[in-house]
Amino acid sequence: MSDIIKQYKIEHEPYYRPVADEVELYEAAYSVRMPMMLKGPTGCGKSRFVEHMAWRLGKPLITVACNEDMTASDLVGRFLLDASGTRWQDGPLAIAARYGAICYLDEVVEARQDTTVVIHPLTDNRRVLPLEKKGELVHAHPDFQLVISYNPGYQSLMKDLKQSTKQRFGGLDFNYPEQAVETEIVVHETGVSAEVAGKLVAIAERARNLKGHGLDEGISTRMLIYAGSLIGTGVDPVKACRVALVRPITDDPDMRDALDAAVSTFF
Amino acid sequence: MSINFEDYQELLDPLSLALRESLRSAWPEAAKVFSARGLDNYIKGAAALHSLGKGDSLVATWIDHAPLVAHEIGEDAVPDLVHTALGLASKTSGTVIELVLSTAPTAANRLGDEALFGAYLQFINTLLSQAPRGVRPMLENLELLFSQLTLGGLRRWALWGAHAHRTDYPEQANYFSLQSKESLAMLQKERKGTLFVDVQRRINMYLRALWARDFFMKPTSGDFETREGYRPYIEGYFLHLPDAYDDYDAGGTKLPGLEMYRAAAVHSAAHLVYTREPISAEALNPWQMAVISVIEDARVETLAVRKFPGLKHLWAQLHTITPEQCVTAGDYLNRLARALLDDSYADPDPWIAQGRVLFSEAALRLDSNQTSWDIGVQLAHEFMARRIPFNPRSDVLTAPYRDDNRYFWEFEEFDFEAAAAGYEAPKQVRRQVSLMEFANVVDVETAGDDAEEIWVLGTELFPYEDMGKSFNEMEGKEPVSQPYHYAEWDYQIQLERPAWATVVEKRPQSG
Repeated sequence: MSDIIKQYKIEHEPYYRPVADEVELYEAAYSVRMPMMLKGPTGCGKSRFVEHMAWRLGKPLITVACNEDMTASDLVGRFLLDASGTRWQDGPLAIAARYGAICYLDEVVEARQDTTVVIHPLTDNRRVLPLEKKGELVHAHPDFQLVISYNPGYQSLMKDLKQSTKQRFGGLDFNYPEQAVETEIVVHETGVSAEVAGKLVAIAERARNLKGHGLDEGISTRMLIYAGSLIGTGVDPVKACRVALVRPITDDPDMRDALDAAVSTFF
Repeated sequence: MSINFEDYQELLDPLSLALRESLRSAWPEAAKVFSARGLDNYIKGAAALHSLGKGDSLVATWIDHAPLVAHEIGEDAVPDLVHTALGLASKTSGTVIELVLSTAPTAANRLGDEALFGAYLQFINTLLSQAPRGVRPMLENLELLFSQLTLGGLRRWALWGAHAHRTDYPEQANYFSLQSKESLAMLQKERKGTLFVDVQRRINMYLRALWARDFFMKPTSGDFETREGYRPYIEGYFLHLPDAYDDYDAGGTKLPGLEMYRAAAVHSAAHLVYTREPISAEALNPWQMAVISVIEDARVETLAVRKFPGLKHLWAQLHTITPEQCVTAGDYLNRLARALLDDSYADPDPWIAQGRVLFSEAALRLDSNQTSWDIGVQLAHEFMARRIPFNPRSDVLTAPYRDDNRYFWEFEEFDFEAAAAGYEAPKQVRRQVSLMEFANVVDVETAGDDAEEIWVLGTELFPYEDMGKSFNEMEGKEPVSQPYHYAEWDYQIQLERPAWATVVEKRPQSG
């Protein structure tokens, strides 16, 4: 394996607690190289799941955080100037296709719709990536797979995938794990006691009750891990919750107050 | 039924062109907040105000502000508003009525409840008769006043001013425009810590966060005469909370009004969540009911605390009774209430200790309120030996957040309709029959107008010895309808008398 791709190899097992049969389903999908789409609210473990699967399958993982300014050449590659003239630089998608990595486009709806169209030839039976500027047709490596993630929660009319893009993927739904599982995750990731973790999860449930009633999104598992880590360093639990759970999630003073009060019913 | 603007041409015609135009432009907005009936009231209100002859700007104010009031507290408040405005016409100038209308949305917003708004309008009416010169400056400052006072507080503040400066008009104007020192001092005195309208949204979110469901809340204004106000109560799925809470002095620490609201709201919500069946009040005396109430409160609180441990602290700090208070039955009730909630509270009394033991033994049976009934009756019985009299009026729970528990008592009420059912006279039946049926039955000669059945033959029946006269002509009576009663307006007493006029229908004579 070349040096370029080696850096993307995942050496140690990323912790992932399976919630249902997503691991088996993903493995099956990978065995037929079906492109996958992971949907779910922020901080529920989509990216961690991809890392874990890449490690499990022993494949390198190239992650691209998508944004509005991203162009097609940011994905496939471009000519650069150097002392001896111009030189072609592969983009992440081209590297992945060439060397056989899993390419993970995180928050793909953030990219403009016309940008995402470049992935189309790679995600059907052709499995090729045309580099028009270079005049090359890259045939995808047999190990190559494309994975995208997005959060259906805050997608707007402007930010949605085209049907022609959506229909090229198999989809897995992610959500916050149920109480016992989430507690287990928080304990594992932060080292706080199961009792404290249980309380943190219960607080998260309180905020999730308010989703759509003043909150756009509930408290995520990721935030619970932040809060747990703070508590682990000796910060007072109420303060840790305020910093890690309540303040980041809302700017509405009434909501902040209600959540603070909900936190104080646990600690 | 749908309502078109043009349908009201008749009412609109007397209005000036400008008014008709502004009504037309307000129409689409109004149609959003009013139902068809509400729109009808809205237009008729405009026409009625116009007929007062107090100028166009009064009507224009109505057109602009009535939909805002409906938006705040519902369209049912709008007829009240126009009636008040019409009623004020004989007492005050058009400008003041206009002010009442233009400040009505503010009042509606701050009161947030139709019943309270009705009480506010009544208060304006009263004030106009007591301090006619004060109303105008008060309305000009209404927003400021309502940001600090409840309706009860406003009423006390205003009536104090009205009494103090009954005849001194300049001073009255000073007082009501918040210029005089005593006016500000009174305002300071009446001002409440936290108003319900200011925290309603927070409390709503808080309850929703805890139980993932919505609870409906309404403010009550119980502090008309005293500052204390009503206890919270639950009725018809609504949590009725006081319209303001002062900060609570809990043994040296100040508990802000918002915390009081939380404690009260979450306690009532716990009742709604955990008390699913009513407790029958049959065969219980008031003392037993009082003890069962305390146990039931403790039951729902314990269940809530199991889920949300922090609630225990929130509630416990509002119990301030100590073992030294041991005179009345109420003292013991309150001590029992505190003992069941707060483990750290030490109480040497054996009755209280027994209550604690019984309650903790029932820890696994708290799902059903039968447990409360059982423990309550037993404890009530034990207490009888002390011969301490119980007075349901004065021996009440002092923890300010607790509701009055009317929610879960079920009284078997005497149902008048059900009781009357067996005695009601059978309804008279009228049947169309054939001649053979008619001829084959024996006539009941004693039957009067109240006969159970009246048989009707399609044709006239003549006796066998035909003299050219039918039975009807010989002995028939004109059928008379049941009397109908109608209400009638008595102009001398200016009241409507219900069921005053009686109408009886008869057949017209032929010819």
